[in-house]
Amino acid sequence: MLWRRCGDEILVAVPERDGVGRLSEPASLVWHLLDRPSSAEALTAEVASRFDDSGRDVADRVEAMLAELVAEGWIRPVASDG
Amino acid sequence: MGDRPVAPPEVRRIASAGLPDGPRSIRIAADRWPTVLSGLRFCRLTGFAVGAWKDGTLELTELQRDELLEHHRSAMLLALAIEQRLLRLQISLQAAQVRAVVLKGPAMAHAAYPEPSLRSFGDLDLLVSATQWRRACQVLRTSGYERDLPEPRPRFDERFGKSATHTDEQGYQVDLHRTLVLGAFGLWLDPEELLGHTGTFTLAGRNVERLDTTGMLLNAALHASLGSSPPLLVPLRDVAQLAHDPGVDWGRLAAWSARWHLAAPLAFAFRSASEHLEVGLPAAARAMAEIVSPNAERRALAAYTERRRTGGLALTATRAIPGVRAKAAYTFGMLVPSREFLRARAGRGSKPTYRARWSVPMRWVGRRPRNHGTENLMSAHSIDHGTSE
Repeated sequence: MLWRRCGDEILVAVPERDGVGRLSEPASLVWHLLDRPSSAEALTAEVASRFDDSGRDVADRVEAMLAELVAEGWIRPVASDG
Repeated sequence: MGDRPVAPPEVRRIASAGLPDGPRSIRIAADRWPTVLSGLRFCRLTGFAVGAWKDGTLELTELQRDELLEHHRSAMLLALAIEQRLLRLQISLQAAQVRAVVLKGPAMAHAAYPEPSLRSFGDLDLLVSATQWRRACQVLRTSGYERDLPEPRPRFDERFGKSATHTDEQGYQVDLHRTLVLGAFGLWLDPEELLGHTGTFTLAGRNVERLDTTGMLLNAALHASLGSSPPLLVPLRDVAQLAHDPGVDWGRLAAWSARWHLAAPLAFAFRSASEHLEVGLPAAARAMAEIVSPNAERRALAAYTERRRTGGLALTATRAIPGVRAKAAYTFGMLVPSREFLRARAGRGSKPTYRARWSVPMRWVGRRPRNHGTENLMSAHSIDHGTSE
């Protein structure tokens, strides 16, 4: 994946096609956290803690972000070790 | 060194932010901000400004920060678009068994800096062996890039050329290099030996070949001292950045400098980096900055820094080419290029005639100061090289 940091945003692109995506917070935080493979649960906990938001919809929002990132081809699901 | 400043003082301070000897605090007066922002954008330095703002070195208001980030976003979009093209080209070049080494731009951003978003760039520079030049041009053509200027004469590129700019439909440019710089210094150095000292950087999980750190420093220094006059801030920063890199083999750089007659431009680059950026350099770089170079090298350097627009480059190139036959071939190529080349050089609205081309060196002779008037009319070789030569 090709990407650049721009303030709190992440600009991300795939080599195969033109166009660049723009991730602002909290999606840019999820992107950084995915520097190493992580589970949706762990990401949710981290996002909730960083944004001091323990609402139940945090998990839904993280799931939605992950689905979008996968759909764009910017991240790839991997099998968990456990 | 030229007396003209390379950029406003605030912009130069930002260009040195993050260096070991760089500024600790930068404040910009409100009335100076438009000039500074414009300078940062023009000099492709928004990344260093963002970096300095993030680490607390550069103080900005919210509005200034937003304006800076907007310009930086544009710079990063361009960088990503270029890297997309690099990776696609890499596949095509490898399929054609062409080895291409990335110079400057993406290589510098990923291999020389702690964070690639610090270093902006506007095009892609690839170095290939002269033996693979034709094949590399062919790959670019089949990948949708058109060469801006044709070759002046058959086989001119491989023998005397520096690079050829290729542009795709959307305006993205690839500079295909046979050597690092125009003129005498580009002819004296041995690009094949440089290609024997490479490293890699990772882009989207793929390894991309670049010059090793010593080669990158050599290229940055030549670009800084010979690329434009006065030197540009980005190559000067590259020089200062790489000079602090523990991966530089200073012994090899000194050996290349002696063997390829590069002492003058290297000394000029290190001095310029230190003076314009107002930073100290490591002892090895300071030692190279103080070397007294031979007269021939100093004269050749002056062709880039003082006589660039009056044919100095072509004249010194003629002197650097070994052998009468080769000199004659170069001169003939410059004076009597193909009709196709003439048409491309003349552009729209101008008549492509040899007479018009020959009038260029005559104007140079007319413009030349009296103390240079003794140079004979063979300086008629000094026709503007353009990007392809």
